Amino acid sequence: MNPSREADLVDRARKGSADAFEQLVIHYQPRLGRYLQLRGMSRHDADDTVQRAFLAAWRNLDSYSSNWRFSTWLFTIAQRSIERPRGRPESGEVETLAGDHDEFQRHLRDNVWAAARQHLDPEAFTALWLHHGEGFSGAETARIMKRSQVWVRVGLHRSRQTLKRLLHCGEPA
Amino acid sequence: MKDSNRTRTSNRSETIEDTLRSDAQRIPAAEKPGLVASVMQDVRATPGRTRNHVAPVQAGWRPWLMAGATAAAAVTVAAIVTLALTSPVEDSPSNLPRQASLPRIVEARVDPVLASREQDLAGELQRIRADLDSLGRMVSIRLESDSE
Repeated sequence: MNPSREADLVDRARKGSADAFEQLVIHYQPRLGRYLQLRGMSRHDADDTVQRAFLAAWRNLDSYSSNWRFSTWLFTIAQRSIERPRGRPESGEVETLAGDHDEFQRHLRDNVWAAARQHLDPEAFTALWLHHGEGFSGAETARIMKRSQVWVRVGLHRSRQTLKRLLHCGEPA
Repeated sequence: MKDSNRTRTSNRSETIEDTLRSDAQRIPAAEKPGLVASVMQDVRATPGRTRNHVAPVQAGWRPWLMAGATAAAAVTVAAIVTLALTSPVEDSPSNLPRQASLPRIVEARVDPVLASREQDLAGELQRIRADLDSLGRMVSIRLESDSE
């Protein structure tokens, strides 16, 4: 989305325009849903989390700082939701994904992200996806994950090395 | 997975970053119009977002408080400087009020940043007063030597 259009929509939404906010929801809902499913959530849980994230965003729009992209703020809210799961371990969520989402899984076949999810720890995978999959900068990724930029940089480097070895040899070191 | 990875690597000369980017684009975004409708139903049902939120209230009084405090500090400093500069000649600089008698209104009830700013200005005034003292002494000495 064009940054000036996004800023205009956020501004109007802040003034109470639900229509402007709807444009933001339409634009970001698919990306947020994909991110949550990649993190191992079932489609149902991902939809639920997306809904709660947007509602939290609407309620707290006044605390949004335009120093960051709206998407950074939105992913930060969603990330908080992931960090506060409602009692279900992440491994259980992965099982649900494997069982429920053949269609989603089909897109991961022969895809480096399937290998990344399998071989990297969840935080390393998240940083890698936010940076290379969603196009967030190192600083934005750090902000979303509540980590330092150094942690993100080092983590990204290690993850890429792991995947490089995996792609060349079939197994990480 | 392993075999397919090997095949892909042998067929491509792209960097791992390119692979990550291009493979990310192959994963479709989870578009769901029904979810948008559901989100918007909740959003529209949320009563008075701005009324419930604390920030607009803060946005209302905080700038006024800051502006008021800044104005108070500026007036205080201006008054002190004016007093110092317009004192009668017979008042030597050393007779001017000391630092301890400076008003503390701003520091006491407003903002630590403003208070520290006021402290800086008070320190500055102290230095100016010391300079005036030494200047006064020099003028006295000069006048005494001229009269001799």
